[in-house]
Formats: sequence, C-alpha cells, structure tokens
Amino acid sequence: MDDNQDRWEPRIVSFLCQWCSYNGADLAGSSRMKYPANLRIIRVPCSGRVDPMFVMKALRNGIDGVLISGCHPGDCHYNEGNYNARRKFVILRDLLDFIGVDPARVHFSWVSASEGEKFVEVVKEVTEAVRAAGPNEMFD
Amino acid sequence: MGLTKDISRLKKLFEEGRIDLLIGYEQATLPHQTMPCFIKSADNLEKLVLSPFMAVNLVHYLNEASGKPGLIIKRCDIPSVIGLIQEGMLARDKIVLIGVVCPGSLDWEKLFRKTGWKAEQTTSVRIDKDKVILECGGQSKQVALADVLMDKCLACDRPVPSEDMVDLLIGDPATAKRIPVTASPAAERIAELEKMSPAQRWAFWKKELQKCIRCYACKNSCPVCYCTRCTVEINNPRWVSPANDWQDNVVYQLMRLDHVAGRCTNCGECTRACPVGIPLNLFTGRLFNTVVESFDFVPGQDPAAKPPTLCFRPDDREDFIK
Repeated sequence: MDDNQDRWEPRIVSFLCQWCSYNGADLAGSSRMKYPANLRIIRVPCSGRVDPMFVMKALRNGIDGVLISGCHPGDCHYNEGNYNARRKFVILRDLLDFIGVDPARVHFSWVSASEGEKFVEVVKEVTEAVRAAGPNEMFD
Repeated sequence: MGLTKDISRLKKLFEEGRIDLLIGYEQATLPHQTMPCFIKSADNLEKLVLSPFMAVNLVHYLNEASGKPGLIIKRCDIPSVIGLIQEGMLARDKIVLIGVVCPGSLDWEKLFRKTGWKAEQTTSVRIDKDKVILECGGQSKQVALADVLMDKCLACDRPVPSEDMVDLLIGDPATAKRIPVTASPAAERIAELEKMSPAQRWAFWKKELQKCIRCYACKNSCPVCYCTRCTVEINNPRWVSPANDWQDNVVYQLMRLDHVAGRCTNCGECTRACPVGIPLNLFTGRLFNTVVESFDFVPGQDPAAKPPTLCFRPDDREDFIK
C-alpha cells in the first residue's frame, strides 16, 4: 500500500473512458512505461457517463484528487458523448471553484488509445499538482 | 391596492373559458405578508391583492397546475416561465400570463429592523412614491423606500412587463417602482468572493452551509426544479446523505446548483425561501454569469433557444482540459 506511515502519498481517483483513455492507460502499462501509482482507475463507458456527483462524492469522501479523461473531441465512440461532457465539466469546474475547492485537485484530459505516453505525462502532472495541494482536509 | 378596475378583465378570462385557475396573491394574516392563492371561479376574484409584499415567485406552481392556468406575474419572474418553455416543460399557448405593475417588493426583515417595530404590531404598510408608510395603532412612521426594498429590486430597471411578454397587464402604471436603479449588492459580493483565495471561499461557504437545516425550501421553491423525484430522495444508490452535516450540505447544494445550471435564471427565489439566510443568490448569480459567458446563452430569455446542457458546439471552450 502506498499510504505508509512516513510519507503521505496523494490518492487520486480517475474516471477513464473505456474506448480511449482506459486503453491509453493499458498501452502505457503494456509498454512498461512508468507512472505514479497514486491513481485509482475507474472505467466508465464514456466521459459523458461521468456525473458531476461522482466528483463531489469522491471529494466529500476524502479523495485528494480527481482525474477525468476521455476521447478527443470528434473521436467519441458515441459521436457526441465527450462534447456533452465538456459542457458539464465547465459547470462542475466553476461550481467547485466558487465554493473554494482548490483547482489543483480536479483535472480533465483527452487521451486517445494510442497516447500511452501522453497518459503517463498527464498522470505525472496531475499527481504533482495534487501533491502540491496537499491532503484533502476540506471536509474534516 | 387598486385592483377594482382590473377585476372585470380577469372575470372575463374565466367567462371566456381562457383560464380555469388563477394563481395570484392574497392577503395573509399580517399586513406584511401575502400568500399564494388559487382561484377556481370568477366569484372569488375579490380576494386577489396587489401589494408591495408579492415576493414569492409563483411560477413554481405552474409545474403542478393542470387545465388552463392563469398566472399573476411580476416582470422579474417572467424569465422563469421562459426557462420552463426552453426546457419543454410548458407551452406558452397553454397558459395565460397576467403581468402586474410592480411597486417593488419590500424586504420585511429590513423594514422591521429599520423601524424597530414588531411585525405583529403593524396594522398597515403602503408605498407612497419613494417612502414607505407604516401604521401601528394611531402612530405612523416613514422610511425611505430604497432602504427597505429587497436587494434584487434595487437593481431592477423594468418594474413593468412589456406588453409582448404577457397576455394582460393589470395594476396602475403610476404605482411602478420609480426610484433610481443602484448596483446589485449581490454582484459586488460575488466580485469580493472571486477575489478571495479558494481556502477563504471554502471557509465562507462552510460557515454559511453550517446553518443549513436541509428543509429543502431552496429546491421546493425553485421554479425550474421540476423533477418529480429529486436525487436527494433517492436512497439506492444514496447520492446525498440526508443527514444535515455541513459536509453533506455542501454536496447537496452543489448537486442542486449543478442540476439547475443552464436553466437557473437567478430569480432569487431559493435565497428568499431560505429560512436561515444562506446567500444562495451569490452562487446562482455566479452560475448564471458562467452559463452566459461559456455557452453564449442567457437562461430565460429566448423561448426558442435550446438549453445549453442539452446541446453543444464543437468549438466549446476547453482551455482547462489537458
């Protein structure tokens, strides 16, 4: 387990679209690329499946960071799922910002199935941002 | 207040069969209160009042009305109706809108704080140009209208609905609010909050939402909350804990705001209904601005426009996506 007593490690939950980003993560793994092990991956059918409630509940339950990733615009398996998701994310991000959640805790990305390297970069970047934001003590 | 000459016009609506229900305001027990009334026959029109205390946004009741409803409506509540039309929840030709000349709504908390009188002692309250005159027994007191209007009325520049928005206009145009428009106090407070750090904002909302008693008045009074079953009532899976811990109050309020995004017209009804005085209008004001800026869409403006969360543009902003 990464939560050892000496050093705090951020816990990040990620919602990955099963057509693109999840396969991007798979590619990164099967190519033996290294990326931080702070991510807990939840596979979703589409980034449009990600209800903003998922993010709010995760934060409420003490997760340190959230990453949502889906297909690039135009590549959605369901044609427009990620376009609809994008609008929901604009609102979600704004609500979280205005209530005072550190923007460094919630991240969005587009990663395709062939972008194993980009996935690694995104995870590194997100992990560092969440690490800098520190443990989620908002709801304590 | 002068309704007598309008009663016959309203009677005609019943007689012509254009409406079979009229939703309006009647005098409540105390002079500083009105309550919604539901008139089903022309014989009962007498109890209808126009008053400076018509604060309630009655549009919410259209969601539950059947038949041919008529609605007494202030200009500031019209966007709520258009919001419902945009969402496909209401057809404009199935309802009759009766616009009223609005004298401005008085905030009775401000009123009694200002005068030092108790609500139950006061026997009458009326607006005379830019003054409010209260009577109690033989005594009377005057306060400046600008000091006791509801915040949203201070920033209101159109107290009379335009003719093309309503089917009928009642009330005396001479009684419309005529004091100078001042900047909205909410807009200033939103700007203040936006300047704070996230941690400061969090502390502010934590303090506010600790007051919440989860009575759900905010969602029950909201004119554009029309789901028959709300997410907070669903217990499998349980999205929002019914416990009124401040943590769950935060989640509840974020959920509510998220669900009304794109149709919230910032009418201020949730704030008015809140019994513990949480400034939800700051949140709805900010949400409204975000929708306007991000989606180039004004909730409650164009009845033919598609709600922004039901459509998209390929070139929507995504500057925040890696």
